[in-house]
Amino acid sequence: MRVVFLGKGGSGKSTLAGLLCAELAGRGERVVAIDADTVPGLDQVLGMESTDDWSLAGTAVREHGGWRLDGSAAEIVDRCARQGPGGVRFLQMGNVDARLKEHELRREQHVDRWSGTVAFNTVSRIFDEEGGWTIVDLQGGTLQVANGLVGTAGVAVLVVEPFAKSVLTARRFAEMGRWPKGIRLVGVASKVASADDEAYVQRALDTLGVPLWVSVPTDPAVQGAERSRQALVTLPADAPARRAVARLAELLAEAGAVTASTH
Amino acid sequence: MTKIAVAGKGGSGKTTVAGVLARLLAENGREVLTVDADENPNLGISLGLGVERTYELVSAREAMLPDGPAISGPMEEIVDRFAAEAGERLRIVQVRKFDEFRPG
Repeated sequence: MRVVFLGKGGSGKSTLAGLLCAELAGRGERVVAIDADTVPGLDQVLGMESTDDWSLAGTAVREHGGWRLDGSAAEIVDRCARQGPGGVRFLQMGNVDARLKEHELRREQHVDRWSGTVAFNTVSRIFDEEGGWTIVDLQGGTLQVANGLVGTAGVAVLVVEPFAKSVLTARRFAEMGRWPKGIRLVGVASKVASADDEAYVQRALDTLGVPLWVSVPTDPAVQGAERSRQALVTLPADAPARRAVARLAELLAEAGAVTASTH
Repeated sequence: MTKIAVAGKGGSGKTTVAGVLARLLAENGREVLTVDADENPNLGISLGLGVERTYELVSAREAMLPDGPAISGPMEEIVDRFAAEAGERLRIVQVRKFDEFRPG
């Protein structure tokens, strides 16, 4: 099952993606977590050390003046993923293109064809070849989606806060044109503090024809954990945000089961 | 001319700070040009343009022909061509946005 988190910057993509990874791992599922954000942070949510991770960029090989990551998706994951809590395997991918560019500049090599799509190609392959769950945390805004980073199948989770800018961003996503066949676009309301908040997001998503799957309440436990540099995955199971994500996991599992049986 | 850049993490409040600052400066009699350089441009909302007008803003990049020349020439000309009125003494230029799937 492939799940991509998208939305405005700061809407809660990483938090929800991290909590979902932990939830699924806790259920004994195989999970590959991919941070595709150029401003990474998913590792921290998972409770992992935030390191200057060169592992993926370090294994890239030159090809036709561009770069390619060598090997099958499984090999790339084995070689480069860091182990997170509960057996989640974590890949930092958002910095790969920047790293390669840095590398070329340092060696004063001429970049004759800077495709900027090493990360994209790798994500696509992992999508296609990996069993289990692949959870991708995209960068804020529509750029990566416009470039095709959502892949060709699975669920795209649009994270929407009850604020005008977040809703406008959601509209940009929903009205980008025809979404690739096989991708289901669903909405999750984030930072919901009242019934009015939820109704506001609900109305916005109704207008866009995107179903609202789950409302995630503002959760002081999330803020507290972040401030004390505690992994969000250690939140108590009855923390409101965790319960909402557990519900999201159930809906995703149902959607995955439907997808599998129709193939 | 004073140039002010507002930077920070996604969702930290860059756009809100920039929008309010621009409005206050304009209200105090300054001539203000705001530049929304975010690829996910929402500054119009903070300037008070409303959601619809912000959504409809044409960015400088898309206003050019696909095979046309890159943006060049005197800055004032560029601003005159691409800026939208956002209030008295207050204009906005949106650099670019990605609002459709790109081929290939």
